[in-house]
Amino acid sequence: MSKKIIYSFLIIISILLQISVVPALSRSHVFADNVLMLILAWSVIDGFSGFLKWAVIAGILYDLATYSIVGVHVLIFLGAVYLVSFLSRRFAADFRGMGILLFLGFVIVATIFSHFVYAFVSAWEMDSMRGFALSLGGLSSVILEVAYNTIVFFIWFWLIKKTKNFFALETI
Amino acid sequence: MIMAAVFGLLVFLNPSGIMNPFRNILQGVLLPFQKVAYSFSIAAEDVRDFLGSVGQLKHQNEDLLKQNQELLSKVAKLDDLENENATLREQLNLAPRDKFDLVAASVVGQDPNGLGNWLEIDKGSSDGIVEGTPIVVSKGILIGRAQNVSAHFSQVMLLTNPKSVVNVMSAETGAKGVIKGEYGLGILFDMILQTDAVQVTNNVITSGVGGDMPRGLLVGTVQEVHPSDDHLFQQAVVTAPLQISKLDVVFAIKGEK
Repeated sequence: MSKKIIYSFLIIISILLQISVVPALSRSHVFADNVLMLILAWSVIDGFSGFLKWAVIAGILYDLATYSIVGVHVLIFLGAVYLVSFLSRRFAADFRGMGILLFLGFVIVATIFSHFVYAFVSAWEMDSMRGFALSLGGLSSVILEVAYNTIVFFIWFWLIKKTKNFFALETI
Repeated sequence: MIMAAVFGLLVFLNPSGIMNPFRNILQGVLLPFQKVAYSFSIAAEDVRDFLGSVGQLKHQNEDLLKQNQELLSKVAKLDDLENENATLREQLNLAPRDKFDLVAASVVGQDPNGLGNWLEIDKGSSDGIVEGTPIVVSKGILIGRAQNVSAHFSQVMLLTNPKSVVNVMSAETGAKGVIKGEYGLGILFDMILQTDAVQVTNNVITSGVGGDMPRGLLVGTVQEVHPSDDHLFQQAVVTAPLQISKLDVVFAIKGEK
């Protein structure tokens, strides 16, 4: 029960941060995706099967809170969780002792993947490929977002670890 | 894979009507927290701006003293301009801005994707806001219109949203067209006839054509004029006179007094 409450609380906090804090504090139109990084960090800690249902719940809540088409963020988060699972299995042995590089790989691929999904949905809604290109943004903005996301990823990673230890929640 | 297919289908069908009750419940719960979080963020941003500018204050103070003297001389000239403005306003048939019935609303959230597509405000249908209600700042600068209106909160579709289309005109030349959002990158004054004159620094205001938007709300200033891709029309890049991401209070125009 306490696990459900803590997980729900952290998801809500990350959504609140993303809607009401980060855009107001940011000085440019590029900023970190808190919710995506929370999901990514959590799936690294809990594993694919352990975190799948929470990724779906977070996606639905995020879609509802941001007036998005319900399902868009679920797809992005499912993609991110699957990505972590796939890359971990494929490259964990190669990157033994270099976990940070593997995590950086997660952040880069998840950021680019989410950009593509947003741009695709935006273009589909507007029925315009021009929208796809504009929504995708330039290379510099993607690089900047990857940098912000990396910082946020490690903050969430640390925070989730501490929370799980503090409340003695099991890790799968 | 099955789960991805189910949600892919959900995105494709987009049953927004079915989801609205759930959206209203969630946002009703989040709203008080969003208010606190957003106002805290704006205050923190103000403090950061202040701390960043402390070193410049002495220099700025000297500059301001000089500027004050210049401004005093300009005040006299402005009295004349005020009369001229009233005459021009009458000629352009603009609604005086103090005639609008306004309701103030606090901004509680923004587009989290950085595209500047929307804001969220803490006023809704119970305050007289309906779908399409114009949202302004400083009583006369248009920033967007209300959509997804619930009882106590609304989403504001900003002018930079690609779905936003508003009928506008050049205040100086009367050239008419529409403004469209450019995916958060700016605003485009489009569909201007080749025979109409539009120049850089022209003010762009709402034309009132269609009747869903009052005439005379300022949208921005023309920054660049070029022909459209098919060369049938002219297009102008418009810059808004304010930074929308830093807004904390906006006004909804419920009607005219």
